[in-house]
Amino acid sequence: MMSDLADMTNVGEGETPVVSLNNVSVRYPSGHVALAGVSLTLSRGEFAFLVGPSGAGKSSLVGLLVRDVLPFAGEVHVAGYSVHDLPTSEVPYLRRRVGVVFQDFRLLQRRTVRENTAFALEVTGAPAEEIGVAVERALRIVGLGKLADRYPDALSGGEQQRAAIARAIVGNPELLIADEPTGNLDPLISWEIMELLGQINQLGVTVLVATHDSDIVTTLRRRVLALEGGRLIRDEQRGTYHRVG
Amino acid sequence: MSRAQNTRLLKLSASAAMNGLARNRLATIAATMTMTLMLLVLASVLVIRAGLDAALSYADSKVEVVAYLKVGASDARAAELRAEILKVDGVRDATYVSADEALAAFRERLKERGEPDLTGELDENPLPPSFEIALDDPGQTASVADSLSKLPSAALFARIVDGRALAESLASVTSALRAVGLIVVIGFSLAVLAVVVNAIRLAVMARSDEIAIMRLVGATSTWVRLPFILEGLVIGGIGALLTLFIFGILGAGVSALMLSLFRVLPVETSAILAGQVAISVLLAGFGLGALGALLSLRGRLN
Repeated sequence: MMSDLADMTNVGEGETPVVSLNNVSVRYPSGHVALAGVSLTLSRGEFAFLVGPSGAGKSSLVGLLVRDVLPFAGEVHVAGYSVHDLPTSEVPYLRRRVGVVFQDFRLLQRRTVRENTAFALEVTGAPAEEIGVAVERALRIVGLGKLADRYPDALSGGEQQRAAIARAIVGNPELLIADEPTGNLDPLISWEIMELLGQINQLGVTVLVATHDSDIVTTLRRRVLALEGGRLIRDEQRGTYHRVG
Repeated sequence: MSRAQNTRLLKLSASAAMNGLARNRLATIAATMTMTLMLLVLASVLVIRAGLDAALSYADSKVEVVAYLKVGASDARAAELRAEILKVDGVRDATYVSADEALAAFRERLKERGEPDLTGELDENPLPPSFEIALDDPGQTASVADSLSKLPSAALFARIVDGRALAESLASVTSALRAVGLIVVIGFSLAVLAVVVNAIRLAVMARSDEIAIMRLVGATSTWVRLPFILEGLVIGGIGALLTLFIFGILGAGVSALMLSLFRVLPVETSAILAGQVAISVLLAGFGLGALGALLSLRGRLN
């Protein structure tokens, strides 16, 4: 089931990282410093959790990676793009390489699951024949093949999040960012979604999950990036939600 | 972008634009009606301006000095007087119009206008003979008129009419009317822009979730903006076509009115004028529609 996407990605060591932040600071016009001197890299095929209390800078970091937020200082490289000095006209091309899913799914209610998924490719000018193939593959990966013609309001929360993930991966992104993907879901469904994100990661897609879900983070023992007060206070390979000891 | 991409872009944008217009029906109708009203004003201003221009150029071409002789002056002195006039500096030619010719021309004009000719009831011709004096330079009317009044036979002149003064007063009226027309058109254009901006802004708000997703998945600004620009163009285009339709219906009446207002208008220019009005109305409609869309999108899509 997963082999299609794997063909499109290359897992390998020693390559240019998919994400590289070098001493990055974000300061908002109000003067609030959201991130201060953050440096980190995510290699191709890595899976990492981004944790921290509210206001720690998680959203700013996610915003940086899709050029929603501009750094005040430092360098940001994502999927081969120098995001810190990227011309506005190039931003859409960066975003085609980065899939994003949110806590609130952000599906278009007047479109079916299939149409929501296809929308991401249609509005980037992809040829019709490619869209059909890519949409069916993405729906297969997230397990929504049979519900493809349903509208979002006829789906459960977990199914809606799967549809949002299908939309995020339909364009074969190098990086998938999940911003609190389980925030609106009950624990069992949350685990299913995490499992799906893990499967997509196994296909070679770099995955970054910003979350408050300490159970999931601590149980899975993946790489943990912990932010507090805008600073990266922990970067552990097999980390837990809270600092141990 | 490839041709296939352009076609897809246009197709998707057109369908999004049509959905948007249909979804905000009231705002669309209001914007289209206001657009039509404005374009009707524009077309009227253009037609009136063309009439004024024609009148002005006619007056300019006729700039000359006319020296009216006293009523009853004999034709016998005409040749002698003409020789004197031709010697005046700046005079190119002088044509004698006898009292009989003047009366004949007057009757001809009455006939053209379809007015009753009562001159047959007159015992004698009340019109004076005159000299129509063409000049080397139309700007010299005042000095030529002055020189004529100092000729040895000047006593024969009843009145010397300086044609430039007439043309100049017509020109000043024309430029005043042009300024008023321009102000009216600009005022209406601003009102139209406001209504179009409002209509498109409603469409942008109604589709804000779609726009957010488009930006998230990497649609370029052309793809995000085009549906709204098309909506503006549709509003402008329908407004322009409605205007031309209404103008076409009213055309005959307007032409008749113009003819009675500007008797001197060369009527054969009306076809060219209609073409110019149609092009101006279409350009203004599409231009204002697109401009309104661009203005309503400013700062809304970032």
